[in-house]
Amino acid sequence: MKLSPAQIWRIRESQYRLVITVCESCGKKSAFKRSVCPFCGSGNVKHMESEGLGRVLEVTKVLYRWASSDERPPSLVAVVELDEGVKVVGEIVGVGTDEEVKEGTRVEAVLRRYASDDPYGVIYYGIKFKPLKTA
Amino acid sequence: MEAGIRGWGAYIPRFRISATEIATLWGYDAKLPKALGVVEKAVAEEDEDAVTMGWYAARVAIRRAGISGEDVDAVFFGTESKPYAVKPSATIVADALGVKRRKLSTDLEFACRAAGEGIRISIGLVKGGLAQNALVIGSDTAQANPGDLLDFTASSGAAAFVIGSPSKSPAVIEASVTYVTDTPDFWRRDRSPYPEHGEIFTGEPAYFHHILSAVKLLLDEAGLKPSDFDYAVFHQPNGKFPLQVARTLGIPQEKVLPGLVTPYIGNTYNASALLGLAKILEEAKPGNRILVATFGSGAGSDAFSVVVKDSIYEAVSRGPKVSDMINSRVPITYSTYAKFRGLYLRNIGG
Amino acid sequence: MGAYIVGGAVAKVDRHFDRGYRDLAYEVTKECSGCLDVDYIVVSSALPELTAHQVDLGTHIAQWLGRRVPVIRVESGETSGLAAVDLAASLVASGRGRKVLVLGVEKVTDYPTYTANYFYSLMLDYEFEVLRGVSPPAYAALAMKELMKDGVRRECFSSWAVRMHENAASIPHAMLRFKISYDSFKDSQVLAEPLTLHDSFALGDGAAAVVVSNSPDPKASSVEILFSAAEVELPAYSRERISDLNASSKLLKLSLERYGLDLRRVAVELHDSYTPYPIAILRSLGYLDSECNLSELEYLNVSGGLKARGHPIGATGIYQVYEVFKLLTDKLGGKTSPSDYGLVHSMSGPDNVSRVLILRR
Repeated sequence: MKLSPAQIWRIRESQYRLVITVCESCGKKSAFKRSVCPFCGSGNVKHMESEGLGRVLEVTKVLYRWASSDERPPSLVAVVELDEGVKVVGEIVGVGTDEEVKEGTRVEAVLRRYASDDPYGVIYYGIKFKPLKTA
Repeated sequence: MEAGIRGWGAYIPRFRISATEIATLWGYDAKLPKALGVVEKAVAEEDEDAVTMGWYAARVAIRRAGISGEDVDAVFFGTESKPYAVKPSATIVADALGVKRRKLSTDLEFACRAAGEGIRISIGLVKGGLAQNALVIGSDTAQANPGDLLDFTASSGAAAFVIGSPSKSPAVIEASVTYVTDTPDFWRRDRSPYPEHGEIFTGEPAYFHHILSAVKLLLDEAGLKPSDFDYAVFHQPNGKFPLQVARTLGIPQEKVLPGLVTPYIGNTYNASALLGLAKILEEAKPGNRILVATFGSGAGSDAFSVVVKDSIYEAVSRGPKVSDMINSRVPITYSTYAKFRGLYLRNIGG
Repeated sequence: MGAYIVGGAVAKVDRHFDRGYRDLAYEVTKECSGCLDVDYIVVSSALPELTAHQVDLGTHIAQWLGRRVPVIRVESGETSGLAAVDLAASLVASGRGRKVLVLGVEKVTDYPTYTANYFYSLMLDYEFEVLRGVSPPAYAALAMKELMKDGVRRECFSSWAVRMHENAASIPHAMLRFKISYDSFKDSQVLAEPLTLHDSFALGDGAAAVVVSNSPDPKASSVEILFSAAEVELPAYSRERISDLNASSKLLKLSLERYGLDLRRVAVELHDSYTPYPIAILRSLGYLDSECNLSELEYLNVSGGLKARGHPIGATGIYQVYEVFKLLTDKLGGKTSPSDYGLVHSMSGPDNVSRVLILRR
C-alpha cells in the first residue's frame, strides 16, 4: 500500500475545495488550509474556499519521469493566480494538442485524480485547472 | 406536481475519437458509423473518472439551483463505472462540494438508468419531506471491449440534477413512472473489465419494450398524449434507437433531435438521456412540455413529464451549456484514446 | 567559533553498484588520516530510509566502522551536509566533543532513475506539491522562464553547465569529467520545458568526510569555521516569483558584507542543482549582468558543482566543504584560493532552506 488512506483523508479539504488561508494580522492570503500565516507567522487566520477561477502566470510542459503514483507525462505544470489574489502551483488538464496555455490563460478549478495506488489501494482526488472555455 | 428540477448541470470531456477511425482499425465497413448514427464519441483523460466528471456536473447543478452544498439532504450517484467496487462515489463528490454530513447517500447501479431511479427516489424524498434538496448524478466512463460494436458508442460524460420544491424550480416533474423486469440484455460480471450483450436481443425485448411500456403507463396515468409534448428525449445507446422509439410513439423527429446528443459525444450510459434533457432545458421556452425516458439494461425504464417554467432562462444563464461542451471538441487518434482509457497492457503498481 | 576543519577525504561520485552506505563510509574514512580518531560522529544523509530501507543510519555506520562513540544522523534535504557541519562545529565549540567525524554518504543508484527521481522529489512538500504533480524540474523550469522574461538568454544557463564541465575535467572525484558544448543542449532530453538534462545536476552515489576539531592541527593545514547561518524561505508557490531565492540571496549577501568579500576573489561552492538557480543568485548579488559573463568568477565551483562533480544529495555539502578546504590549504583542480576566505552555499529544493558556511585559512 503506497498511499496512506488516513493521510489522504486528512488533507482532503484543502485538495477537494481549494481552501485559502486568510491572515487576520497581515491581511495576506496563502494557498491551502494552514494553521499559521506563512508570511507573518500569526496564528490568527481564517479559511475560505476559492471560487476556483484564475489565470496562468507561467507554465511548463513536464516530461520528467518520477514514478509518482499516477505518472502520465507529459503534463503541464503552472503557477496560477486565483482571482482571490492567491498563487498556487498545479497541473493544467483538458488541453488540446494544438492549444497553447500561456501567461494570461483563464482557468477554472476541476476535480481530478491526483494519484491512484493501483491496483488495490486508494484513489486520491484533488483540484487541477482547466482552460476556461465557456462563460 | 411531483417535484421540481431546481438545477441541472453537465460535464462532457473535450476529447473526441471518430467512429470512422474505430471502424478502420477494427476492420468494420466504413459505412457502419452512419448506420449506428454516431460520428464521434467523448473520451475522458487518464486522470478523469466517473467521480471527477460527476463532481463537475453536480457543481453546475447546485449553482444553477442557487443553493449551496449545505442545503443538500441527499446525494445519489448512478453509475456502472464506479472507481471503487466497494466505496461510494457519492460521498467523495458530496465532501468535495461541501454537502452536510446529515444526509442520505449511496451509489446506485442499474446499468444506464441508475440515475433515473435516483431521480425517482428523490421525488419521493422531496414529496415525503425527507429532503428539501436531493442531488442526483449520472456519470460514466463507459467500458467497451475494444473492437466490439459497443466501442463505437461507449463514451464518457456526466449529468446532475437537484430535485427539490416545485415552487423554487425552473422546471417541474409533473408525473413519473418506472417499469422494471428481469431481462439479461447487457451485463458485466464482477471481474470483467468489459460488458457483454445479446446484440439484437438488446433491442426489442429490452430497450424498446421497456421504454414503450414506461411511456405508455406515464401517458395513461397522467392523462397525456404524445402530441402534448414539445420535446422528447430517450436513452440513446446510438443515434438511431431514439428516432425509432419516437416513430412508434408518433412523435415527429424534430422534437427528438434537439436532445439527441449521442451522434456527437457517444453513449454516456447513466448520463445519456439526462444530458439530452439538460440540453433541452437550455433551449426550451416556458410552458414547453418534455417527455423523458431512461433505459437501463437488466432491465428498466423511467418515464417523466417535465414542464418548463418562466424562471428557466435565468437558471440557464447560471452555468455552462451542454451545446458549448459538445462544440468544445479536441479530436484524438486511436492510440491516444487507448492511452487515455487504459487499454494498453501495462505493469502497474511498480 | 572555536571549530576547525583539520582533514578530510572524498570518494568519487559515481554509480557504485558494488558498494552500499556502509562500504562507502568505510572506504572514505580509510582514505582520511585521523577520520577514525574521533569522539563523535555526525552522519549526513538524506535518503537511506528510502533507498536502503535503513533507519538510524548513523548508528549502523558507527557499528560498522567499529567506532562506538556518540553518533547523530542529520537530515535537512539537500542542505544536510552543511547542517551536519554546523552541528559538528557546535559540538566542539560547546565542548561536547573534541574531534568530530562529519561523514556525508548517499546511495541513489540502486533503483531505476525514475524511482530515484521520486525519492529526490520528496524534498518538496509531499501533500501540497508532490502529490499534486509538482516536481523539482518543474520549479526550475518555471524559474528559468521567469528569468528569460527578464531578458536572460538561454545561452546564459547553458554557459553555466559548460563551465561546470570544464572545471570538473580536472577533478578526479567528479562524476562527469567530459566537456560539453552549447550544441549539447540542442539534443538534450527535456525534463520540463525549457529545462534539459544538461541543465540538471548529475545524480550519483558518494561519500565525503571532514574532521572538525576544537583546535587546529599543529602538524597539518587547518581551516577555521568562521561563520554558519541558515534560513527558511517561503514555499515557492507563495512567493512573488519562483526565482526569488531570497533565503540564499540574503544569506550570501550578509556573509559577503560581514567579511568584506568579493565573490570573484574567494573560493566559493554554490549549490547548482539546476542552472537557473545559480544564475538567479548571482544576478541578485550583482555578479552577473545581461552579458552573463562567468569568466571573472574564477574560483566559483572549481569542483564542477552539482552539475558535473555530481550531487549525492545528503553528502553533497560535505563534498563542497572538503573542496573549499582543499582550495584554502592545498590545491583543487590545479587552483589555490587567492583569498584566506572560502564560502560554501547549499539550498534544498527551490530554496526552501538555505545554508551558508564561511571558512578561513
